[in-house]
Amino acid sequence: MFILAAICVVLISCTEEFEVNVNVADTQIVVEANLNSKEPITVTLSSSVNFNDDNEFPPVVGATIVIADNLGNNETLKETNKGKYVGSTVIGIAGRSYTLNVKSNDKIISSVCSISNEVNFDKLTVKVSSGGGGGGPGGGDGSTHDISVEYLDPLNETNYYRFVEFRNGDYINAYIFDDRLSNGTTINSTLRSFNRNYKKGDTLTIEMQCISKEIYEYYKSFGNLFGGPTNASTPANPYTNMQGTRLGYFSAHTIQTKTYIIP
Amino acid sequence: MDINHDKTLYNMSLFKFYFRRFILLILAFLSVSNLNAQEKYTLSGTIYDSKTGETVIGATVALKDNPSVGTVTNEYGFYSLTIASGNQTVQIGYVGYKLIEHTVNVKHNMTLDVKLEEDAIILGEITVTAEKRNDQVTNTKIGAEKLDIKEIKRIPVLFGEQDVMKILTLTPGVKTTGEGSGGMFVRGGNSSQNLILLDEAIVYNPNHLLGFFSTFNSDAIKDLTLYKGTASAEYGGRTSSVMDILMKEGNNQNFHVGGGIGLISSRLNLEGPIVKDKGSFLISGRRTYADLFLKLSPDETINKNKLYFYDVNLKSNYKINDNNRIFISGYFGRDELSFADRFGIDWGNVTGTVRWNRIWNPKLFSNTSLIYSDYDYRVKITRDVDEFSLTSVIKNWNLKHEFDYFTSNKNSFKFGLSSIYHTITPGQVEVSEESDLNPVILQDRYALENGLYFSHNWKQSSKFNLEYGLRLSTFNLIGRGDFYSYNDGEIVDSTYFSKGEIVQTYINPEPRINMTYILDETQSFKMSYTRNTQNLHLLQNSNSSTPTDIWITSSRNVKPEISDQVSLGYFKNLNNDQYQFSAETYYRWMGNQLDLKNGAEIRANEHIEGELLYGIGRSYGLELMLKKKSGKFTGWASYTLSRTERKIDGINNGNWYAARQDATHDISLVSMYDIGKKWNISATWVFNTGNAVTMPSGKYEINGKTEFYYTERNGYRLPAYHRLDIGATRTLKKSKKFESSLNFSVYNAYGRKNAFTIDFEEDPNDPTKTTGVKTYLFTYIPSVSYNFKF
Repeated sequence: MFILAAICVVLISCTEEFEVNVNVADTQIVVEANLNSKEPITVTLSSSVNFNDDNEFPPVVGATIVIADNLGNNETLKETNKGKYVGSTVIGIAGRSYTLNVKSNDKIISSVCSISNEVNFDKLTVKVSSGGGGGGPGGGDGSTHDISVEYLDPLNETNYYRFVEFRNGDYINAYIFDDRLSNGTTINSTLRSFNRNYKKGDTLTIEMQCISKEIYEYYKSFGNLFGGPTNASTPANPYTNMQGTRLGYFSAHTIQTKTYIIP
Repeated sequence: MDINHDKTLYNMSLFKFYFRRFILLILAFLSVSNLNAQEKYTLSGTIYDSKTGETVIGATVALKDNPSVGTVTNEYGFYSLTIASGNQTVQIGYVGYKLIEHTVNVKHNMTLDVKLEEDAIILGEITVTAEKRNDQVTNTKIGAEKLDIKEIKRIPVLFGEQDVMKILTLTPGVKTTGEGSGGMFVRGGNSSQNLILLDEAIVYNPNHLLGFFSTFNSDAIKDLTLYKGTASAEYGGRTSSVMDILMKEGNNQNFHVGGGIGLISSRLNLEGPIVKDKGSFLISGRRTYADLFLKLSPDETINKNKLYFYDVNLKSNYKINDNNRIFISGYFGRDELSFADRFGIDWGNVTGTVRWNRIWNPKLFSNTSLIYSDYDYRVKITRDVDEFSLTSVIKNWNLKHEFDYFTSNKNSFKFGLSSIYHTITPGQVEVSEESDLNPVILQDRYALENGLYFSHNWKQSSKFNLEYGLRLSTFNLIGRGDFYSYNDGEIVDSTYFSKGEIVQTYINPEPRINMTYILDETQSFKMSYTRNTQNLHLLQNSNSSTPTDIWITSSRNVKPEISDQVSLGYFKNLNNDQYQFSAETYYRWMGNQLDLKNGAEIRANEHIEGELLYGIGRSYGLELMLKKKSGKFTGWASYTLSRTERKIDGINNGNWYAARQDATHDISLVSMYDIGKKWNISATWVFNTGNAVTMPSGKYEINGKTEFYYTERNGYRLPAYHRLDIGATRTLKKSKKFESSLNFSVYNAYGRKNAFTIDFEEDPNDPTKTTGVKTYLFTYIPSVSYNFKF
């Protein structure tokens, strides 16, 4: 018994709350800009706050935002809601390059992003999870459903994918893939989640995005994106494709969606 | 390219300059010794332990009437002492052994092999030769720690597993890589910059069970020395430190069985003569058995998990005749870890060494070694029809030929050549047929690393000792394969090299000098300067050492890491060597340091070199040590005040930041006390400034989630780490035939909740706030083990 107890101590570590005394950070404008192949651009601007403040992030109002493509089409966005800016005429087209310019008071922020070629979203498979299973990376989990997606990766180019999961229209999670280990094959990727909880009648939507290398790097460099024991790398801000701010991104991508009603 | 070329030219001319100087010096000393050789003869031989027949390393041989005429046995127990003719009394001694005197009538070159007897009567008061007593003061070693393997068996440790690497972290200038982790940081270097040698073979991963244990079974270890960046020219290839471990040879007098039974693992070792006085063998093994208890569980998710390691040390030697001796030694260790057939990883080191000692004449000793070493790991993931495995191997063949030349009792030389052929298989991904993943075979990398070295130990007078040397390191990266050049992470050039074609060459002369100025019998000043370079680089994308770390070589993109260290020390013996005090300061400059981009993929990545960031580092500190060597109460107190910083392009806006290795204060207190004959107790207390960590200064919202905003790298500190361990050993039986003892210990006796990691999450009580959460690993860990020997 004594020995077993000793082993348990080894396997189980404990946690405790920890008092954090952190420095005051300079405020950054956070840019969340998405341009896709179906809708006009949407941009959300907000401010970062100090660590010990409440989780209330003030919107940045009254900014001037211009989107332009490499063929000379451009438009100025309208602020439809506090800190929310939308376009109307410029739509994302694969192969084109887009420039975003933001001016807020004396701050100027800019970014360029190209849209990659679209890869067809062939199949969405949803299965009731077999459940159970031990912990550990790649092990089973408490999720109710296993979701996988299938698409044919083109052989002659490097592709980056992002799948966004919505439950009844609410964002749940996002998953990124590259074709480093699977170039040119039919890819069947499992969207791994450890706490997926769907009930009968729920609408599950998966949005497939073909994203640029910069945006893939941006999402990948979020230290907390993947679970597992190798997650202990030194945290840092993700690589942004923005100039003029350290936080946020401008993603121009194609989108396709598939939905599934939970029976 | 031009700059590199100039640098190479500069290095070459520097080398020529040094080399010419050395040749002149050699000639000068040879002629001096020839002049004096008229009435002098050489006494040489090997010193053995009478009970075990093991050679004694570092025993002193000196004239009784004039102790300054003396020498120390080398790592094979050989000594050579040139003395005047006539009747001479020689004293031979070693700590813990009776002092032996021999009177010899020196008329010609003579051989004198001596067997030393253990001094078992009073452990505390040991008579040693005057030479030995002041060894700490007079030798040229600075920045070196030598562990007494017998002594460390009494120090309390986690799970009662004796671990030389954990004991080393209790000495100044050596910091543990973290709780439960077997790695160490030496004078601001990271763990991959330590050269770890087991019978001369490189050990790439010194950890078992993700670092809870080290790969070294203390039952099989004879001698261990750590050089904190101040090693002499015979060592090379890593910039931070050298940990030189020599395995026991095995008892050539009698058969013995020893072992221990602990909570986590058991050990067994066998040793004995092959031919008495001529040859012996040693087999020592360990295995953990935590997994056997997992099997007892009725729960399938637990009983299918695997978690164990084992290791075996083997050694054998045979004395062919008085002048030739052969040694064969090997190490084999393996770890296995798996979760319910879904995820598995296994890794291990294999090393093998064949050595031939030859005494050419009374003044010339040589050793030739052929060494193999291998580290590999395999990750296996199974999910539905997908089977995925990743294999990575690093191995080398090493040929070493070295001479010890004792020209006079004032001069000795060491020179030799080491040639290593490296093969690195960076990662092969194999998948099952049904899998939608492609197999990936990364090209193997080949490299030839040579070291041509020379060093001279010169006892100029009774006041001044000097050891200087030069190591010429060359590194050739060799085809076949595709080699890329990167600029800012993008490929700018790709060239195919065929088999044997040289892709890149680096030549680095590494001068080293140690000086000792002896103030009087009990105190001295020492100074040293050492340059080291490193051509194998470990890539780690996490703070903790994992078995799947990747080694890469210097290449067209990656330059050799360089370290220059100067150190200054004061050494003092007190109360007839009962106490030893030392104070050392050092400054180390580190060039061509590597780091990874955020989120870099290091596994199975052909373009890994495009994910690297480059920079420099610096480290400086003060190390104090006070040791009590004898008496009922023994132990030491060590204190280190230091700073280690890095400056990497692309991290922290290119500004200096505290490295992960940085610890302002580091204190260790180690004490052992004998209570009568049956019991001895021990206690260890450690304190160090918390690790430098990165914490968020701000937060922001993106994609509907709250994320953290970081303004500086490693700008914060974890709370200070401190811990008390206590231990007690009860000798149950001690006779000539059978010895047994019980060892009790408590790790972290006052249950300090030391932070292992810090995470940040939404405050469970107030979702509008964010809070820090600390994870700690151990509070109290009691353990007990039973040890025996017959």
